[in-house]
Amino acid sequence: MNGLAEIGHFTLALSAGTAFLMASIPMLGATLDDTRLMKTGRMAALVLLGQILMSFGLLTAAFLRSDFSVKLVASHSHSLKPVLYKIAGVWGNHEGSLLLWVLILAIFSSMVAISRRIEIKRQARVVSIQGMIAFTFLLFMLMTSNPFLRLEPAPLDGNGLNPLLQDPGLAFHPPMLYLGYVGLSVAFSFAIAALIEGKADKDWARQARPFILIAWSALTLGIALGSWWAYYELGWGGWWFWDPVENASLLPWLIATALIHSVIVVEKRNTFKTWTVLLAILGFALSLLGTFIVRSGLLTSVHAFATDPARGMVILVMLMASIGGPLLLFALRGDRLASRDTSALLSRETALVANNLLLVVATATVLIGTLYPLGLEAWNGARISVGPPFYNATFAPLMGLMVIFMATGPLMAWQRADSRLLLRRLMPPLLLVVAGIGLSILLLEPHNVTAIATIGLAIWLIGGVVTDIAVTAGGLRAGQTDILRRLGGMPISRWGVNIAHLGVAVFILGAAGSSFFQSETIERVFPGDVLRAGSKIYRLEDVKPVTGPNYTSTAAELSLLSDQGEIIDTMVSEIRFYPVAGTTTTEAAIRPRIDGDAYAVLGDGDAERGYTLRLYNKPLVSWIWFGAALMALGGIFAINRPPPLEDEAKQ
Amino acid sequence: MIKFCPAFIAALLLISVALAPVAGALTPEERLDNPELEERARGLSAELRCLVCQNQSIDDSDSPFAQDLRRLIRREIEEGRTDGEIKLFLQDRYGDYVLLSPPLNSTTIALWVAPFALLAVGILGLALARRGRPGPVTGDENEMS
Amino acid sequence: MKRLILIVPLVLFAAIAGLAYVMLNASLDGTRSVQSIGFSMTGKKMPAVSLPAMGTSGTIDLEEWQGKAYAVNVFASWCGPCKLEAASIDVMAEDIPVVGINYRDDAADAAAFLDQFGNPYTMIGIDEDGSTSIRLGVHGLPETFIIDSNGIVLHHQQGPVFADDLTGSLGKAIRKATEG
Repeated sequence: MNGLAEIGHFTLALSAGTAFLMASIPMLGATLDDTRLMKTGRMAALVLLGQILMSFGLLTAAFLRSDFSVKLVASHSHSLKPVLYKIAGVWGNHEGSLLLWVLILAIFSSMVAISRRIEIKRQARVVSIQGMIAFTFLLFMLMTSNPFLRLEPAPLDGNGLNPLLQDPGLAFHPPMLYLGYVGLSVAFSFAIAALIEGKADKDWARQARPFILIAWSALTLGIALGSWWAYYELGWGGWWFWDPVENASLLPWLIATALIHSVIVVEKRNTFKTWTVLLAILGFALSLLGTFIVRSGLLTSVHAFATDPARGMVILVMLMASIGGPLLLFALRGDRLASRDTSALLSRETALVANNLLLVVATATVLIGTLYPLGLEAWNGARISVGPPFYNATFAPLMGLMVIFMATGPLMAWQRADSRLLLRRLMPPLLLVVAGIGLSILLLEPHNVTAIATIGLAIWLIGGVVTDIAVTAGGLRAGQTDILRRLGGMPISRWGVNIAHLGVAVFILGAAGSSFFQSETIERVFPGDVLRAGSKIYRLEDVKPVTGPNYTSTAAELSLLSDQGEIIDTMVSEIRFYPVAGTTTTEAAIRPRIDGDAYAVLGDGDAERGYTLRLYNKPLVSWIWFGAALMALGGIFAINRPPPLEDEAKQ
Repeated sequence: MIKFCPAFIAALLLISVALAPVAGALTPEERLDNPELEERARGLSAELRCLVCQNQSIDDSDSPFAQDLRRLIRREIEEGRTDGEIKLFLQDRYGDYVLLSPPLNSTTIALWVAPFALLAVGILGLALARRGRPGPVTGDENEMS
Repeated sequence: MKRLILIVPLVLFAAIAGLAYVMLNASLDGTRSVQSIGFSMTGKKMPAVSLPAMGTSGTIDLEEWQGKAYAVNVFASWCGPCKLEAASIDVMAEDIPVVGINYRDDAADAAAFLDQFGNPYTMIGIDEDGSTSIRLGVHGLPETFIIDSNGIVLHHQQGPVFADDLTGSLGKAIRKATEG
């Protein structure tokens, strides 16, 4: 069965050739107005997909079969790994992740290529640019990051048994992120096509939008998965650290959020075109920049990637060409797309402009925060740290401002909104906010201004969403059957908007609850001791050694007690030692409950001195990921198929 | 133990708890007896970088160095020094890198001012672009879809 | 004006790419290490600390060295690079007295280390829990300070001392301290 890796490598090389053809011929056809040449794009995209699928399939097979003669499998897998993680191991490394990236690119390119709802010239150009991206990545892989390298002699077993990586959240985190980055590449291709065409009309927007929404939803989920993983795996309950690698995924997400709103204006009002095209280019640029930063070793990060400055240099050169070119094109031809915006100051356009402005400034803030230490070091050698305190002071207020506009936007008309009508509609949310803040001050402690303000913002947003639904349903005076009919008639995409905005509010409440209202208790205890952390009552039952499938551990068994002392749940926190990998990990015990997560972590200790336990009550923390899931769901619901083409434009 | 309150378990959102930063690595023995001073120590720890770790605060890190720093700041707090004095003490020995919140000085002013400056420039630019622009065409107004 | 604005993204991107290029080059030719904190005590006054002495029941006090040039070397038996630099410290001790600080170590292990690699130190202080060394700005082993007769640190080295250092800036600092 040997030789499969060679076939995989060969197919990869072939696919580079296909990508080259895909990059050149359709574009040539569009320039020469030759329909036959343009149509080759479809064939090329499908062939490319087949070849990459073959390559990826063969690499996966090598992992599943534990073929340790393949260097990648030897480095990143192990015969004892469960099947799910053998598969996840395919993309849990530099080379394999690039192959996954290209696979997703091939899938999206095929989706564009076989669509019957995109004008043939535009389609040819978009497919061509996708081909250019694919070719660049494939060339990079073949020259510096070949997944199919052999190892001779083949070792008896692999090296890849890092326990921290054997985890469902972590297994799906990269594919989700890549779906996002590649989706943004499609938007990027549409943007360049528009620059070449000199046109970005309503149809362009409707054709690009589904890809942008898929990208955004996937990015949302991908980032949320990473954050959730950090929360339950790292053992100290944090979920966002403003680490450069995390920022690298947040930057494209922020731009993508601006983009999904901006493209709506192109679609509905035929303006904001130059700006939208720029956002699409920047979104993908930030995705690539992020990929570069995390693999180049330029910045310190808790995310230990295999960093290699030499490879980083190659990526940088690739970056300069693939982003510099389009930005130059934008500088030269961007003004051809310009259109006139005639909206009044009080209008939905303004709300969306505010949304975009705040998101772009937020993006710039995170980018500057991440790169400033590097820049300063280059300037005078000094090293500084830019950590959470900086971002809390700058990013948070910007997002707070944005939330204010999020509630008002859907309630405003395009072009010119009636100010009296708007004020009437904003009354319910405003009253809710006042009530909410009042209640919070009465019932919650501590009286932290930031916490109360954050809760107020979330309530404002919820109020806005509810008001929007109520307005669609016909208002308070509409009859019951009328309301139901209207709600039933509301397009799914409109529901999508509301669900997504609601998701943001849920997220904010989760973040506020767990950040400001957390209870913590750290003590050294013996079995039988009872401790409180906020509303949670814990009792340490026993601490004993445990042997797992590939680890040994000290396990603390805890019971969660009700006020009356009855056991309502049991939890186990362990300190695990994995002999093969030689690493020690801490497994926190987490029990989500209505009033907050019970979170317990075992520290050091022994039977004589007692055991250190860190116990928490984390109110609403799961709302963070639930909110993100709602956001992603809303994004998917908001997808609308572009309209069928007019006959002349059809192929 | 940080202060806690009688349970409001029935009420979903309305659970009274006390403010506390997340601690990854603090051991009970390190804690000061005075809860106010301890809270100061925790707050300060969250602002100081563990120099031998990959991007963690000394509050989060398990490393011996982080432990040493935690003990040092607690000792300094007990001896009556202010947060500012302690930060200066550490900056003197480890440079600005030890502070997770970059200091405000001539080399970092650009960093701190940038977000607000950009926002201001953006608003100004948009306001200027709006001048001399024709207003809405009647008939287009109040379109809500 | 509109056209000029359109070039801003390209210019910004070029700036970022340029920065990345410069820093990557520095990483590639070894002039930059992401591990170093980029700061040393050089130029600052050496804090006056005191520690229990190794071998006797007294204490050592850096105050005693006022008016004299000396070096401080922080080491431990568990520290690999400390073993690598032991020979260089021996050479250094010929030109300037070296005060040793034994950091977070076990007494028996430390004694064995000195037996094996030699004891170049005029006196050795024991910093059992690291709380004193941290006052000197130590964050990793080994670290070496060269202090002049005014108590100012002329050279603070983070990482092992090699032969090249003795002829390079470290050596220069030693000469300046002992002659100045």
